[in-house]
Amino acid sequence: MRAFVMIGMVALMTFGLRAFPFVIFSGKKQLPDIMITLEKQLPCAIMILLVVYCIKGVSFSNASSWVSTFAGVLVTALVHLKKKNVLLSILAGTLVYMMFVQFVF
Amino acid sequence: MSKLRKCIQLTFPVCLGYVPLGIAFGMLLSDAGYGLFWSFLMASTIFAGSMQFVMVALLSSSTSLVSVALLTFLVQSRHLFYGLSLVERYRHFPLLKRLYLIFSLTDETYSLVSSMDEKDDDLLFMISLLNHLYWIAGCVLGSLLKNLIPFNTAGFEFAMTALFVCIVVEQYCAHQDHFPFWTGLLCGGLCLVVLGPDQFLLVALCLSVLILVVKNQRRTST
Repeated sequence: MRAFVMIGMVALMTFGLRAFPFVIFSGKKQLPDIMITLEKQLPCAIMILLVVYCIKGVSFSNASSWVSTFAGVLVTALVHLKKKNVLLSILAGTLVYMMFVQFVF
Repeated sequence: MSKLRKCIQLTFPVCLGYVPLGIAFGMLLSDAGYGLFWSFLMASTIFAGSMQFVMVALLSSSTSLVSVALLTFLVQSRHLFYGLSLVERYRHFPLLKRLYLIFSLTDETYSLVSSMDEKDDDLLFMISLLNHLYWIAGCVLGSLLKNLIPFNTAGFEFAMTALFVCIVVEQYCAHQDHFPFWTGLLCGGLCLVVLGPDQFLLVALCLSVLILVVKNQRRTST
């Protein structure tokens, strides 16, 4: 039951967020300046925040935890800088992380 | 059906991304105890990769619905900005079609639609629909595969972190101004250290928005 409610809520909110600009700006042609600036800048800040959110559980007193995490992030970023292929980067980073978690520590 | 062919050509890269990512999601969700039905339900009603990955952890935790709503807002708030450039483009569609187009406006669909030159409405609709179908197919396939080949998936959840890292790298390379990147990183790191892992996200986000707004106000006023 909780799962149904949660999925329903997330689905509705996601749709609401996607629909928001269509509802608000359907009449106007000109957007406020600050919106245009935020449109460009905010996604950058949000995505790096989400990365921090993903690795928030990392513990520096536990080598297994932080070495695996940073190795995974580093490999993902480097592969992506070189190849620009999302799938390849995710695969490489995740495999490195899994190897560290399962075999090294 | 040359239109369908053209559409498949256009969406092929998205298919290559969605199907494996969907498979990863389906497997992860099965691992958390939610099988085929749930995977199909989420893929068809939510249709948002990053949020669905975040939800795998939430479904099996005791996180309150308020926190879930908050997280949804944070993860999905970038969608607030996608529609801005498409308001005019979508305006003349019949209501139901327009609602579906808005529902299916994912990062990938947005990138295809906003970079499309043709003013072909059928093509635009088909792109959205096909992308949705790829995603559902991938998620369902993942749930099925999980039951067939069980293997040690410890550490598999890192795929979500990796997805976000890729997006960050792309944004970092695409922009000359790296101030928003450092703002987010420093606010996130600082708030995480000060407030701890359960509380930091909202404060960090508000702080980042505030810094960006203030910085831009100052630049325009001088």
